[in-house]
Amino acid sequence: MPIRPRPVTGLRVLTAVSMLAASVSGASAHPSLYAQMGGTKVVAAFVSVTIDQVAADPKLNQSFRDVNLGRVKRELTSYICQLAGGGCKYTGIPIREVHANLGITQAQFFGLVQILRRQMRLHHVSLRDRNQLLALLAPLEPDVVDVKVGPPPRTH
Amino acid sequence: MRWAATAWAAVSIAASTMPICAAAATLRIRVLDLAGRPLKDAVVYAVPDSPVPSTKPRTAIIDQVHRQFAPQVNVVQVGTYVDFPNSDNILHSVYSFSPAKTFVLRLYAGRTEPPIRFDKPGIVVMGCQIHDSMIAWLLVVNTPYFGKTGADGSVVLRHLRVGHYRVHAWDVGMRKASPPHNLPIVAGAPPRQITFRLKAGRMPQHGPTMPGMSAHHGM
Repeated sequence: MPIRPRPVTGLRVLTAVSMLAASVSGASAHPSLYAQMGGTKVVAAFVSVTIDQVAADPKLNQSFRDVNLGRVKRELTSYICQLAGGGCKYTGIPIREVHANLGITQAQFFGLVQILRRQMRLHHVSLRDRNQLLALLAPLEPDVVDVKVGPPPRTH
Repeated sequence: MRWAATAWAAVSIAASTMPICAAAATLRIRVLDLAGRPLKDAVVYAVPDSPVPSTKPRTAIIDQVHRQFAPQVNVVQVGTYVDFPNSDNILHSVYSFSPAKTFVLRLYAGRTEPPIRFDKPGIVVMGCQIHDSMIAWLLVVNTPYFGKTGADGSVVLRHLRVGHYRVHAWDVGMRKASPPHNLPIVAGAPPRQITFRLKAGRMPQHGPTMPGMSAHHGM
């Protein structure tokens, strides 16, 4: 992918350092989207604020009642890390299973996405990186919105 | 120590007109807090000195209803199976890290999981990995003589055989049960009453903390 010239800011330096780290570790010649966004430090931060705001919004928080938000943040960060090439292996409950019968509407799903976009911007994630992540998350919609599924087959 | 230093125990011998079986006695136990208020849902159990007669394993039920355990406070004999039926139509992931029994059990709507056997005595604290408002306690006791107090703080244990017993009381928030009240049951004795005074436990706000995870909260 082409690398655009960027103004050198503190964050850009950080990004450059993590890019360097990625190349030093020999993972890839190009930094992953996860690294571009700032790695776990930045992703965990915008995920945390996003979840807190959704859970506090009466129009959006119906499915978050009594939910352990710390766990949601950890799992979502890990999921994004896996999706965005950060080298994580998501070990949480499959997305479709954990949303079953929660009655999440499309408006609630996109309400979360709106907050996520804003928080990524506020955490200095570039427009290109924001769009890349949203494109990776978009296919989750059918596994989150109005999911009615039976139990998965037993694995043991 | 969460329990009162000395469980104050008054033994009042009530004149009873009820016929009693010569080989079995009835024991009424009251559990009060330090201010004398009755404690509801306290667990009491009487452990006989003689070996406990073996019985067919029983099955108890701890349900999940409206994102709560029902009941929240439970007591079973060692060897009992516990079913977690999940009456909610959403996923719960019940877990325990208590030494008496460690497990994680995913409870999907519409699927019954095999019951869990509790084979060691102790206090099992359970939570849900998804819903941190959920918490339940299960006392696994080495005796068939146990009960939970009602709103008046009392419970009656029946059919105690002749012998020596160590009677304990426990309330939510106590790390372990009270010191024993030693009680002989003799043939033909009238019903007896003992009273425990406990420092009442406070209900924790959230489920048990998962080891190594607390540091990541609020990241």
